[in-house]
Amino acid sequence: MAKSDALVDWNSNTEPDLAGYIVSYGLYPGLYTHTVGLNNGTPTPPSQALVTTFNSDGLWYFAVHAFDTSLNASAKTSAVSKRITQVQSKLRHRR
Amino acid sequence: MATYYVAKTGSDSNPGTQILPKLTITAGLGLLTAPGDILEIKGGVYVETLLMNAIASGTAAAQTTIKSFGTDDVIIRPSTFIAGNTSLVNFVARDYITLKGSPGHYLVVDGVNVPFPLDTHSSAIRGSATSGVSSCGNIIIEYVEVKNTPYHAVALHPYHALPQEHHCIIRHCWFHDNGAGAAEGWTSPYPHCVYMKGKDNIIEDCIIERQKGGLGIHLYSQDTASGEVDRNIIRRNRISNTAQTGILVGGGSDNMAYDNIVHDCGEPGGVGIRVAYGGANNSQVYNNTVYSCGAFIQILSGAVGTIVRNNIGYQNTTNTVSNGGTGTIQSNNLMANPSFVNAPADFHLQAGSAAINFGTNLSSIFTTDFDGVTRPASGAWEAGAYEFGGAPPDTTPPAVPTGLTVT
Repeated sequence: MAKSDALVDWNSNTEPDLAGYIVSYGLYPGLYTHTVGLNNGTPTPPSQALVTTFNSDGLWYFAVHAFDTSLNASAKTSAVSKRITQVQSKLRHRR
Repeated sequence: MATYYVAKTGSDSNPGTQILPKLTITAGLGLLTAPGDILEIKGGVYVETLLMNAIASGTAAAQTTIKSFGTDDVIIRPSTFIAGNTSLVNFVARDYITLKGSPGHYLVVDGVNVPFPLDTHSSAIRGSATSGVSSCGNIIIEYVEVKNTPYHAVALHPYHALPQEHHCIIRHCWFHDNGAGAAEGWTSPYPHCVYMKGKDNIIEDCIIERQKGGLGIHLYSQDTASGEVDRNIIRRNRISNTAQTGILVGGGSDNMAYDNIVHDCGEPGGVGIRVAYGGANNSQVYNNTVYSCGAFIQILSGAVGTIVRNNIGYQNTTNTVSNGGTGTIQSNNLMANPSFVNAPADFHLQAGSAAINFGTNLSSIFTTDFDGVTRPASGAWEAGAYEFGGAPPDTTPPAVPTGLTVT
């Protein structure tokens, strides 16, 4: 795993009407400035996400919540964290 | 059309892109210079008062939008008012503007720090600007929570200046614990939760709770000329524990209230649903459930041609349709035990309920119940807000995911 990426993984939910997950992340636990939606239309939405979009190095916090086909949403999980580095070199490389 | 961003990690010297967002919503609003522009607000508490006077109105084809980012939780909690402004979010006579959160994640407008009301229409969200200024139209307020405001939660109510607020939609909102200013003497007018004058507006699928002064939804013009408060629709709202009447339909023509649930409102003296005041012509009150209020339905003198059908009134102190109007038509209103599943928590009907097939068919007027369940195209309807046997909505959220790791 690149130091500038994060693989977020969790156990699959079992609700029959599960529609997907949303991974929220940010530089402060509980204050999430970025989200990744996982809803690819399959009966079983993926339960991991490779997050590659960061705008700065630092300790990033991640949480996940689930939503169903009626758009009911679970609460977010407690946060887990990973130190992300080498973001600027990655951005330079992309240019 | 462009999309701009605000985040608590941003800076007002940033251009407002997703990577380089603005810090304040006010700065973000300044970027909305073209119809259809979108401002996305990332999660956090924003200590601001929002005036929309710097932004461009949208158009029918391109609604300008201010919204929460994704499912982020956004709270607007001003500490002070801007001088001369009397609301926290003021649309300032703009047109085609949307303010919205997301399902399950209201955009919160918290009026806890609002000082003593500054004028008779002090409110958390307001359509018109100040006295004598024209109104706004085609505003959409969706998935917004308003709480703790001492006066009105929403005032779409210009100062009798024409044209009125028009074609606005308030839907899926939650308004609660507003109106405490009444206890401090602000009773002229009373602090109604949604105070609306105008025409062709819709209030639907909202929850109004614990309005500590005034009414839940108040359609009214003190003027009596037709054209002031016309063709508004109030439907599928759940209104409870308001200090006074739950719903007032008044002051104009062809206003409708249907499929609403009103309970524990206006005791003593208040009413579940009232039709009143000069110019209240052809008001229509259908399939509402009114429970444990001061009175069931009241039609006062001055109301002409009111139609009241298919409503349930139960456990109200005065459980009658009180008619002081002219030319009132009333039928199929059930005022006996309707065998609710578990009132006031659940007003669905049990098997064998007296409300089943008690109503007349109104499918030429509307076709669904409180849950969105389709009512029969022909044959009798149930009285009250619910058809029997329809599947109740799924409101159970999924479990919180477990086993979260990051590598």
